[in-house]
Amino acid sequence: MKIDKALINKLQNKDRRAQLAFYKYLSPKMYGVCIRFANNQDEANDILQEGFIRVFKHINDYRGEGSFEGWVRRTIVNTAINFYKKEKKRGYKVDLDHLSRRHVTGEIALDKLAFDELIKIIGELPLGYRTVFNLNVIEGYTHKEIGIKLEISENTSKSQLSRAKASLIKKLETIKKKENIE
Amino acid sequence: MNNQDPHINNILREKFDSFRPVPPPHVWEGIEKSLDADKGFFIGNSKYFATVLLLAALIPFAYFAFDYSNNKPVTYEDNTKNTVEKRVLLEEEETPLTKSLEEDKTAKPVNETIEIKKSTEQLLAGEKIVKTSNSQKSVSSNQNNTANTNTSNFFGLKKGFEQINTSDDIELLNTLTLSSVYLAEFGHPYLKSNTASPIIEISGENKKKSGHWENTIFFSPEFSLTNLDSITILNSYSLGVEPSRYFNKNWFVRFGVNVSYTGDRGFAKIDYVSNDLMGTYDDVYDVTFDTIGGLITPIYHTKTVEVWDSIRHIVVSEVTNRYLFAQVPVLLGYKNKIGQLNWYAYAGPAIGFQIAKWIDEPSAEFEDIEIIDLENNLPLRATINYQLWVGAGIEYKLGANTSIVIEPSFRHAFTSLYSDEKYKFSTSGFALRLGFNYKIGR
Repeated sequence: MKIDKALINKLQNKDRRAQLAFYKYLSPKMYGVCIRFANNQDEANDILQEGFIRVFKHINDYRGEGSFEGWVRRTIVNTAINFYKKEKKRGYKVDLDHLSRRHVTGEIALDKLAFDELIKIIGELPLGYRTVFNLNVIEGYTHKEIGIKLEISENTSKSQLSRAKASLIKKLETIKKKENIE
Repeated sequence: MNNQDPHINNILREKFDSFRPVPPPHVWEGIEKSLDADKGFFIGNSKYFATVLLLAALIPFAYFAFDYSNNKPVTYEDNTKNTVEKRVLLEEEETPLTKSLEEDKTAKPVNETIEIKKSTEQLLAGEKIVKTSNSQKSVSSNQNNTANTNTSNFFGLKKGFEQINTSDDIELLNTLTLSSVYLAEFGHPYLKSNTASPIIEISGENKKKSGHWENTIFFSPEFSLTNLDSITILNSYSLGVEPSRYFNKNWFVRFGVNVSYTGDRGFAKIDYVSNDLMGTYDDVYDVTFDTIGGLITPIYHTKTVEVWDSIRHIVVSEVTNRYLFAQVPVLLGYKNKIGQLNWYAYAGPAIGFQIAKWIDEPSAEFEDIEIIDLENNLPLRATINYQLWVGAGIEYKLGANTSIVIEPSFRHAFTSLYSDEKYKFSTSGFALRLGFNYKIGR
């Protein structure tokens, strides 16, 4: 499937068949994004659903600048951020003490790590760390942008990312040790 | 790690880029539902509403088409026989008026004008106006003129026009005569206050042409046809009121509301663990040896172990969902006579709105079970459905205004009855409608 102007026009005209085809084409990729941000699968489903609803409703906001897929991805990420904000309002607290401050260096065989394990590790990160990690490392947002989006300071974003990485490395080391024992 | 950041970030990005899990199907269903809801009820179903509106628009069109556009005048004339009964309201001494005045708003033939003048002369001579008899009728030269009226109507105004002096008065007379007919038609209070009864009584034949209302109360059992094995559509029962507007003695439009009680039967698969205590046994957890009477004797140490049913069971549970729908048809029909019976046929669209539902909960019929998985295969009905109704009926008259009707009818739902994407199929149903009909305003 090719995302071209004709398809975008059909989507803007609320063509249901085009919407379904577009959803089928892009939803697996976007679902991957949602899973990384979400606390669990149900939440990932909700983010994906709400994200695509926003895409279809606000498709006329896309002005043809930049890639359409990128615009959709940003919409999905923004939806995930809204979920994060809702969670935060419900009393989410960042537990700073449960993480080791130990800074680990050395080569980590990330590329050898099974995908499921990686998802699991990221999923185990506290919500705030996970969100900052996803936005910065995977989505490529700057700390300034993250600060604006999450309504936190730039420094908070930086420190959360640092802790997220520390936590991630600790978990990876544990896995590595297990593999060595086995 | 900071030194390795770009490298690690790239690895992570690459990994996640290739991560493309397939979302569950219900996510799309949720999206679709939300988009449908946003479309709005009227926009989302515009083609169906357009059909209904078109039919509704046809009602006045048909009314005029059958009543007024055929160039047949609505005659309030008494030139032939006693088709119009005139009432003379003057209570004074009656003198026969030999010639009636006729008026034509658009053209006055010469001989007619002469008649009018003659009548006026008689009026001026002090003659009183009386009820005309058949022998005294004038023969108008222009029988086919439209909007004919009779001057006797004018005299329904009782007083105020007893003296007509000039030819201008004749014109005034003509104008007011016509107006009086219109006023009488629309029940103007002025005329009502001056007359004990309508100035003119339109003959039965003419009255029929102006149309009438009939109201029918229906009760109908219906059975439906479906090509799905997993769902049984239960017989439905409807009770409704359907008024019909007759444009003439043949054509009518029927609408109304039917409340229909219906249901679906299907099955749900329940995967459960009962955790029942199946029994106990003594489990040997240790063996020791002792010497008893010089013999080495093994001693078995046991403990009682309870055996619980931890096997997953699957049971199929029957599920019945019941619904109450309001069905609103707009039907166009044709009626005719065969001897003592009337027969008729009709067709048109109908919209069904869900007004209540009773959804069954699948149950395994065992207590204290732990349901691991439940798969309810009975889909829920959509809140709105659209149908095509076709039917025919026979009417048997009980009295002047009452009759009973029996109608076999066929309904085809041209949208799915179910909201679930997997169950998008059309259904049909046959109903035998029994009704009690009464005429209004005759």
